Order: sequence, then C-alpha cells, then structure tokens
Amino acid sequence: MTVERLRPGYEELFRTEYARVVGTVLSIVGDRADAESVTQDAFLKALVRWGRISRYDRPGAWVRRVAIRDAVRLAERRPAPLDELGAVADPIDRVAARLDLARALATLPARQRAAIVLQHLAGWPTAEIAGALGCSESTVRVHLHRGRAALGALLSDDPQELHDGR
Amino acid sequence: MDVDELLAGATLPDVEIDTEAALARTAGRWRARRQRRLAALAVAVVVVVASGAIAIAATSGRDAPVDVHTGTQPAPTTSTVGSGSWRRIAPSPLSPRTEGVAAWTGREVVVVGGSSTASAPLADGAAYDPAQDAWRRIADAPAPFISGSASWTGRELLVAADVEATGGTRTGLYSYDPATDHWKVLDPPLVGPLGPLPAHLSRPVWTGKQWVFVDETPASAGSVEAYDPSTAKWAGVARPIDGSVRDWAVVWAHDEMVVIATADGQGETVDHAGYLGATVDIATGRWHRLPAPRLDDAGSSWVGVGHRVVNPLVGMWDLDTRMWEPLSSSSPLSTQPPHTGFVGAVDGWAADDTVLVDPTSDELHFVEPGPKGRPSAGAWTGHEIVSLAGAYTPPPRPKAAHVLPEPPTTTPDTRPHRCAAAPGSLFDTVHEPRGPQYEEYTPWTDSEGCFIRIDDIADRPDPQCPSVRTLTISARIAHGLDYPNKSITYVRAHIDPDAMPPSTKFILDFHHGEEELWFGFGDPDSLYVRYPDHVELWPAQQPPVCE
Repeated sequence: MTVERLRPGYEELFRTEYARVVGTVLSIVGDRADAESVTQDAFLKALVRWGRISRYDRPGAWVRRVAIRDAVRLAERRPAPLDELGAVADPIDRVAARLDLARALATLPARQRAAIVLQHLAGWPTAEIAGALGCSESTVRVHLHRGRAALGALLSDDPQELHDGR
Repeated sequence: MDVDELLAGATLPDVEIDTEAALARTAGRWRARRQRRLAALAVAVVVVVASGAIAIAATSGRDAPVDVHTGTQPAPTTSTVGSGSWRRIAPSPLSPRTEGVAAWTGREVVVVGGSSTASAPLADGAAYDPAQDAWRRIADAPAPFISGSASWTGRELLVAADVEATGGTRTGLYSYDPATDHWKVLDPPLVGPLGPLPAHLSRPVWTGKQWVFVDETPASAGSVEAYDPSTAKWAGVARPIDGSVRDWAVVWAHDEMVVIATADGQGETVDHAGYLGATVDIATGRWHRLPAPRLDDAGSSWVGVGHRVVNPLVGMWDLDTRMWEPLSSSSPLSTQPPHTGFVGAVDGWAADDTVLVDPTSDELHFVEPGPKGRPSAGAWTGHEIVSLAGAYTPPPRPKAAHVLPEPPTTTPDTRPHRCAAAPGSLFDTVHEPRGPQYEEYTPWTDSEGCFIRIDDIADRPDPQCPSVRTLTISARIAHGLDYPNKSITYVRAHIDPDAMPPSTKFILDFHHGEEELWFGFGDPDSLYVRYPDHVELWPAQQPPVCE
C-alpha cells in the first residue's frame, strides 16, 4: 500500500515542499546533513499525524513551522562556525563573511539568524515567523533589528584595519 | 556594501535534492517506527463468555470468506491455483484511469468511473467477461465520480459514489441493471420538502438483503441506515454510535456488521488517535464495543475474512473471542504502482491492493508487480482479481506453519461490576498518597506520558443507600496541566455499560494496566471507566437512587 493510498495528499506535499524546507533549514543550521535530518524529522512527524494535519488549510505551513522550530533548537545547541570571529579576527574570514551572506548569517545567534532568513530570504510574514519561533511578533521584530544591526557591524569593519591585525 | 544591499535580492540556497529518495527514506522510517510500536503494544486479552459458550476459532475449516464488495461467497477454489501471477487481459474500451469502482456479477466484472489522467472524474464504464476475454461498454453512470464502492445484489449493482458537488463531496446512490444496461438514481436517506438532501455516507456493506451505511451527515452522524432495494426504502438500524466521529469504515464479517472509526482528540495538545470498533446487530439495532487498539495511523482498509476483521497493516479483531490481535509483521510502504486496486477477502487472504495477509497464519505476501498500466478498482471473481491493469491470481495460502496461539483460557470475569469493587479491581490499587514530588512513580499514566497523582480513591457504599456505590477521587494532575486539586464523587447508581466516551469531551485519560480512567471535565463532569470489553459511565455527583 503506497503512502499516497494510505495518506492521500502526503506525497504531493512532500514533493512540493521538501527541497524548499531543506533550503530554509540549511540557512539556519549551516550544515547540509543536519538540514536534511531536521527536515526529514518534520515530514515524518507530519506523516504520523497526517489524519489531523491533512485537514488543516495549509498542511505545508505546519511542516515548515515544525522544521524551523527544530532547526532553531539545533542551532542554539551548536555554536555557529564563525562565532569566534570577533575574537579571533581572522582577517581573511571576516572579509569572506562580508561577501558571503551565508557566512555572515552564521555569525548571528540562532534566533536572529532564523528571523533574518525567514523574512529576507524566505519572504515569510512576521506573524508566521512568530509562529515558527514560538514568540510574539514584537519579539520577532527585535530579533530582526538586532540581526540587521549585527550584520551592519560586521560590514562596517575597515578591511585595512583587518589586514593590520586589529 | 551595507546590510540592505546584502539582503536585497537574497534568496534561499538552491539545494539539489533527490526528493524521491528522501520520500522513500521517510516512508521507511515511518514503517520502522510502527513496527517498534507494535512490538511494544500490550494486547488486551479478554474472553467474553456468552451464553455459556466460547467459540474458539480453529485454524482450518473456517467458513468461506464473504466478499465485502459483492456480498457473495466466491466460487470455491482449491488453493493450488498457482503462485501469485498476473495475466494480461484484452484491452478495455475505457480511457486510462485509476480508482473508480468494480464488482463481479457472477459473469462479468463491471468497472465504472474513476480518475482520468488529468485527475477528472469519469462516468463511463465497461464490463469484462473472463470466459470470453472480452469487454463491452455499458451506459454511463448518472454522474462522474472518482471513488466509491459497488455491491452486487444478485440482480443489480448498487453503487455509492463520491460525487463532487457545490459545497463539497456528497454520496451519490445508484443502481445498475446489466440486463437492461440501465442506471437508476436512488433516493438518499433524508428527503426534505424540496427534495432529497445531500447524503454523506460511509462505505456500505451488502448483507445479502440490505445495503447498510453509517451516516456521516453532521445532523445524524454515527447512526446506521439501511437501504432495502426490494422496497426502495430506507430504515434506521441503530442509534448513533459516536456522533463526534466522521470517518467510518464498515465491514461485513461472516454474519456480523462491524463499524470502525478513527477517534481523534481535539486540538493540538491532545492527540489520542485510536480506533473505535463495534459490532452492530442489524436485527435489533444494538451495538457492542470491541476492545479498541491504541494505534497510530493503521490506515483505513478493513477486510472481513471469516470471523475476523482484518486491518492488513496492523492486526485484526477476532469476533469469536472479541480479541484484538496485532499482526507480527506490518506491510511495507511501497511507492511502486500498479497493483490490484482491490480491498477485500480473496480465497482466505485479506487483500489490500499491494499486500495479502493470511489472518490464520499471520503470513504476509506482497503482490507481485503487475503489467504496466494504471490500475483501476479491481474485483474478485473467485479465481482472480480483475482490473483494467490485468488479472491477478493470488498464491495459495501457506500451510499453517505458524499458528497464532489460541487465546488462553481464563476464568470468566466474575467481578460484580454493578455493586461492589472486588479485590484486584480498578480502585483498590492506589490509595496512599505519594510524596510531594509529582515525579514519583504512580501507576496512572496517560498516553502523552502525563501522570496523575491520586491522593485517594475510595469506592464505598453510600451511607444513605447501601446498594449504591460511590467513588471519590482526590487527585492532582501534573505534566504542565493547570488543573487544581480535584475531589470528585461519582455515583455508581446509574451505570451505562454501553457508554461511549465522547471524544469531544474528555480531556485526560489515564491507564492502569488494561483499564482506563477517563475524566471529563466538561459539563457535566463524568468519569468513564473503560475496561477491555465494556465502558462504564459514572455520572458525577448525581443523587443516588436507592433500589
């Protein structure tokens, strides 16, 4: 018995949403294997609960929300690859971060990173971001403000000062 | 570069994904998860003594299964017709399609309706004569439909079709006479002053005389209705079993009608998925609960095979013993079409499209890949399953090398349910207050891992009326649920042994072995005690009635 026969609509949801969710989660957790693992877990949860979730207006939104929430939890448990950037100040890495958004985002705390990714890269409205992060919309705006400020501080460093080892 | 420039036009990374492989991995994990759960599932074993006799099912010599689609017993076959195999049949005059309905009339397989390659509903049909290996077109059905069911009465084909209509799907009811190649539209159960009201009915069963449904219309949900084609009239058969449930499956097993529903909890924080099963006596309208397995996601296919009601994915009810028996192996999930398109009893197998389950030996057989082509619904002719994809002959059922153990003989349950709590019953196990920490072990836990600290359970005669038992529970509930200490007195004067816990009302259920305690914090407060074979409703704080 195919999944589709047992859970009508699930395979269509999976094919439509899976890659996109992996891309979103990847921007938050920074690691491809982790991103696929988190996304698979979210889709598995949806499959287990399909009898209920299939009746929602937007089953895909449920899956995305679960995936983002798990991604943020994972990212909070693990330091971002370039978290030590400010202290170590490898000049080459900082220059690279300025030019590479992914590396720049990796310097942010998990929730700020998620808020920036979801609003600016994935185009989510604030209300939906709030639902995914489990916080209020005003908290989302705080995360966005601080995230942008952190990215701005990263970009304001004088490359000449970096070469001088400051 | 500033932040705005950095973020402007930013997009999510383009990730190359093998989505099909990911889907297959997810399905595999789901299967593994269910297998682990089944391995841990405790089976409630209850033997119900009825009229002083227990019919213990033998592993051979069973009555021939009744085809739930046609209502007839298939022609007897020796089980040596060969291994599972497909044969090509003459191409049909119909366009490629999936689903639809199919039924064996004793001479032809009639295939009607379905979903086109563009996912549009279809109304046309054809009939296949296996003896001639030839098709003929039949008249179009009164309305196009994608799915439904068909039952052969011996004279006409009764079709219950899922018809798209304004506002949603309704059940279209039709009969087809192959002799005249003529369709007739049947009235639904409810006819208002302006004409027939849209029907929302479950899949039906044909009992040999009546076409029986569970009504899923909101106003009458859960009631059982029967159509008699000889009189063209509807009659109510049984009162609502559970009006809060919408999705019913109905199975005819030997001589009993069995209804099965999925019961979901309400809201996102309570999810007590499981199954409600009950037998319905068509003659009297009485229904009796079957012990309900607590399962997640067992699928919606149920097949009556002899005295058993089989869900090919997870297990079966044995109607002789009223036991739920999990299958030792669950069927795999496959993403490989096509298959037989048939759900029903096949020469002792419980067939479910891609898999055959032998309920007596617990053996599982995967249907071999068929010829290319999209399968429509299939019908069992007594020798093979015929659909637009071809004709499939199932393998003979294996010899009973692996026999399910006979249910243990136990002494009949002699607990005097009505007036006293006997030793070892529900209420004498937890009396002593536990420590102040809720993390301490208590034997009462619910399906979410919540636990209840019961300070006191006292089942005692009412001082004013000794024939009446009262139950007082003083409890505190932990696990993040903000319920205050609750001290409730329930009066056992008015017990409803056929009570159905309303899924819309209960909030918490707690298990102690095979027994369950369901608190309803609605209005009125009630306590449901669910034993393996029946449910008792204890109304709260009712004045006792002296007998």
